[in-house]
Amino acid sequence: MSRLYLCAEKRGGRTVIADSFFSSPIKIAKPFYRDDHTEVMMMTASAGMLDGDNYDIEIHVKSGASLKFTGQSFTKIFRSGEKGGASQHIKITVEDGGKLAFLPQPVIPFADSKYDARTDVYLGEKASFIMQDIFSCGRTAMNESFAFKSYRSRTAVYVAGKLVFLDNVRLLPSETKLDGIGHFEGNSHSGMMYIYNTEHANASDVCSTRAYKGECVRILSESAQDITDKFQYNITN
Amino acid sequence: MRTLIPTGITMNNTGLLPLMQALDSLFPIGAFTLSNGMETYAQKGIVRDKETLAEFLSAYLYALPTSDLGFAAKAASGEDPAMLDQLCTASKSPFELRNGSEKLCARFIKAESALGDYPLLKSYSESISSGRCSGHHCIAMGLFIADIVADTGTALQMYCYSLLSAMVNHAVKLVPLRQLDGQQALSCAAKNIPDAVSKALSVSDDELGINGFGFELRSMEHEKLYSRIYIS
Repeated sequence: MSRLYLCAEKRGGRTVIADSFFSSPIKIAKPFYRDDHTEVMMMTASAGMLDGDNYDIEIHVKSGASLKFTGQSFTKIFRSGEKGGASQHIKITVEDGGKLAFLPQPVIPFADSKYDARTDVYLGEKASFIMQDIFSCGRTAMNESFAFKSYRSRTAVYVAGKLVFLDNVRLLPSETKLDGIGHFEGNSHSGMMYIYNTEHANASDVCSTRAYKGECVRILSESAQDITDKFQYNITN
Repeated sequence: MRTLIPTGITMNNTGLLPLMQALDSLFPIGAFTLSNGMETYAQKGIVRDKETLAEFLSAYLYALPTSDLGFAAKAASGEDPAMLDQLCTASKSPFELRNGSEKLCARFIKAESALGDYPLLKSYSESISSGRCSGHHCIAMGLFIADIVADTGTALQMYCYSLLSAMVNHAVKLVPLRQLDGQQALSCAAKNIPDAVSKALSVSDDELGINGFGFELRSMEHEKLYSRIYIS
């Protein structure tokens, strides 16, 4: 198992990484300190997630801190083998008065891959949070489309301990026509953004809805770049 | 005078008659005002003929064991309604889907409470009034099935059929399609209802709320359609 732990807090008027831990192949780049937030980029020394890889990521943002979390490159999920594929568990806590933009790069499951991701987000009622989840159906430049074995991603957001948003995804190309009606409908990429207590800078241009708490934005598209361009965010309002 | 029943025919009280009433498309809870995204599909021309309706129904049925049918199955099997309610509320992120489900539930409980004594439904109604639950039609339906002591599998098949039938009726009006084309697509999709019900009964809590990305997106897009006949 590879681990990453980050704890951000406000110290002397800026957000600092007060505590961190990571194990190979996960690393973090030296944080960028902006005027109103600090940016941390996750990097991996590996080309992607291999069969049996298991990432365990925990991010804690304390009151007053403002953190932007990004990834260096697309998450490539390689062919699964006897270890049953790759998995990831992310636990995020944002305290009241804390702000987090969790903006990982798109995930690309390669042919014959299996992936299982769980993301649990615990927010204080007065926390600000924004996250994106961008998915590609495969290496589209090689005409690879929904050639993976299974893709699972379950994102649950809790506010003050109560479940307020659930994005539950299970894609099994062997069971259903994923490019058809009800699923990707002829598109190769999907993007989901969840926003709590903060502004979406591009609201008129995308399809959004009021979730039970917070706002959810969804896009189907032919390219990850298109989705990234439309997912403008404003964590610092 | 005693009525004579021919041998081999049983007349058990299976609770199916109250269920037929509850699932009747004419039952006055306003289900005809909710297209659950079909209006977007028809308006965008994605569902445009018998073939695309059949494809829609097949994908819809594929998603049902982890969505409405799954919640109904779990509620009918005695799982905690408050836990199911929270999962259902959180997973129905498109506003109109969630709101429609809550409105149907409120009207369903109001109508049924005037028709009989249903303790599980009553207790769900109390947790909605107290604000502990949002109230969803699928969960109320599952509890109602448990209350009337209907055979769960058969009852869920009937509920599932009613969901497909409602979609077909919306599509026939919106596209528009020939009535018989709609019924053919329906009877074709209905063949897979028993399988969907088996899946719904064995789904894990962790899988509840899995839906199709397209279904979610089109339900969201419905909020901004230029002309709308339906409220979802």
